[in-house]
Amino acid sequence: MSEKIIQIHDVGKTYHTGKIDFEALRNINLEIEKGDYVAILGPSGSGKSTLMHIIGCLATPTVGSYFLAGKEVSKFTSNDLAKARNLYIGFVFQKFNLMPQMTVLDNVSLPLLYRGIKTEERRSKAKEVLEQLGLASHLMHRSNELSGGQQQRVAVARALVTNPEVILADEPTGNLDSKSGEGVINLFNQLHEGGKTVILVTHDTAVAKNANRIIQIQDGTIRV
Amino acid sequence: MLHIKILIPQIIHDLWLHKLRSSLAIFCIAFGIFAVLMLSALGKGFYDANNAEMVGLADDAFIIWQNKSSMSSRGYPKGKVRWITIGDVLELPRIFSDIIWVSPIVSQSAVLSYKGRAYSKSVTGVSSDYIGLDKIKLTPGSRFINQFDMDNAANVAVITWRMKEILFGNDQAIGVKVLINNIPFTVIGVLSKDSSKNHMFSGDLLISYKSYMSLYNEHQAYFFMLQTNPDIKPEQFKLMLRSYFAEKCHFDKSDDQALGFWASSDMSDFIKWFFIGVQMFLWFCGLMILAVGSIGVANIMFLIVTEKTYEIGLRKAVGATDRQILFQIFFESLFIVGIGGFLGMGASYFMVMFLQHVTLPGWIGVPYLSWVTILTTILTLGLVGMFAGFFPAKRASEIDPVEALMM
Ligand SMILES: Nc1ncnc2c1ncn2[C@@H]1O[C@H](COP(=O)(O)OP(=O)(O)OP(=O)(O)O)[C@@H](O)[C@H]1O
Ligand SMILES: [Mg+2]
Repeated sequence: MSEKIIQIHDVGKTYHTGKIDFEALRNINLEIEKGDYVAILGPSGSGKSTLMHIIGCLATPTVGSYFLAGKEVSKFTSNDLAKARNLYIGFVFQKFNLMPQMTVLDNVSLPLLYRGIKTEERRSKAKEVLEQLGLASHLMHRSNELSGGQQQRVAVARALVTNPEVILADEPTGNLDSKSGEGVINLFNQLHEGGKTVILVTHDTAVAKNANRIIQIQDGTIRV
Repeated sequence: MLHIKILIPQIIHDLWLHKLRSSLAIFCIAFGIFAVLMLSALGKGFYDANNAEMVGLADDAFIIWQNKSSMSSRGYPKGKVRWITIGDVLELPRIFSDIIWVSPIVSQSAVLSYKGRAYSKSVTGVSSDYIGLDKIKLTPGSRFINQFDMDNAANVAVITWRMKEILFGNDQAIGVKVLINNIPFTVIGVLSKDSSKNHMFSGDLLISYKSYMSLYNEHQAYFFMLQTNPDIKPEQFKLMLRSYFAEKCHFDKSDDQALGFWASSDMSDFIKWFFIGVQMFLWFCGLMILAVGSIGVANIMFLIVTEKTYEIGLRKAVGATDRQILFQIFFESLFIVGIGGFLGMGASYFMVMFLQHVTLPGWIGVPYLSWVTILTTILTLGLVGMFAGFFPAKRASEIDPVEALMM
């Protein structure tokens, strides 16, 4: 039995910069099943991040429809999108995107804040996830005191703390040396084994090979 | 809904990053609130202290005088009337039970002599009720003209502080005889020094109307003063008195020129409105200062929002809704305004406490803060905070997370 968590039909995305319209995505049709491990592969500027932002409810498509867990996200308001992100999605970005002045623990517990969860519960959940990722000794460090690899682990912990359906990672190894990159990829492999839906954006074929499904994207469309 | 415990340290951190601007804005708010509250407290004390004194008369008191009639009446031509006499005035309380006190006020100049020196001074004849009508105060050891003096046509005089200084210098005045138009009068009272600037009476000596009548052989009551029961309305009373004298003095009772009235209520109304005007002006000044402060706070908030674009984008990416971001920035503005307001209120509270415990000149009165003022101030602060916070908060809530994270 397979459940389609992500269904994208004829999606396009056009950016308007000044008078110029730029079609970053067109005719995207894509279905991803629950528990899938998908790599989105393509050259720079091909629209990978744009697609990921749409999947992650950070942006809405200009045309077409997008269903996430059966709900038509393409028609959501900005507040509903925020709730959907909090509920279904865990992001990992290339630049880690942590709050530099906050502790590791506070960074990881941040998504729970917007669920209205009490401080102690937020902290204990965050601590639990950080311990699983081998960061137990860094809870009270500021995130900018950590190495790149450690920072990306913190970012993964933050993505996992809400126990989301889908983990989205945009070039998660792009800013890491190969050894730390490998460590992070191993984390995703483990998450997939644990049953999570993992979507990985990369232009590195070696990284993409970890996934059990590769989607190639070029000039804003999926290549078949 | 958002956790204030987390927000507050963050707000303090943000303010610290913009020390100079934040302290200026907070100072502006604090100063505006301080100014509004202090001006209001001083104004209230001043009003209380001066309302009664500036009126100079007892409440519900009237000064009344007669004019020539402005229309003919029952065969009497215009301008031709019988003048009100001192006797008419003195019998008023028997006719109108609402009249509590009454006194004629009749003045002429007289030659006053003492120890061989002569002065030209004004002498005013009044009844013993006068002391209750005009708020004059006597120096210790003095007394005012009483019923006994009037019954016996005693030649007694009450003199002003200034007269006492001219005639007697530092010597005892009470009990001393002076000559008024060569008739000996005994000084029984000296008006207190500050009394002489607050009452109606502007002459030099007060004597009983009986003495006055025999001194000048004069019966006409040019002016008189009376006080009514507080229950009776001034307008109603004026009409009653006019129709009474219309009958007696041959003028038409619809002739509103025939009797002149000056009611203490007229003056208190004037003073009340004057003070309301002054207070509104002070509020306006305070509001202007607050407006400057609130623009300062808005400015800082815009700065903070711009600097935090990345952070706000990140918060949104992990699920913060527009409304939660709006609330956060809004709360920050309210917090800054609140600190300023709190400092301003505290400062004015201590200032008022201090002023209540030092001796201030009487005319300043005792300043105090009323609850209405404090509540109005808090409400105003709330509005200032909302105004300062709204636009920056709106901008923050509209930040696009994708663009913010690319920074
Ligand atoms: N906000 C935007 N406004 C205008 N054009 C944009 C915007 N975001 C992306 N683009 C354009 O859309 C195209 C696709 O961008 P996108 O970031 O999705 O590419 P990508 O595949 O993620 O590239 P990379 O591998 O470099 O991250 C690019 O040409 C980019 O210049
Ligand atoms: Mg990209």
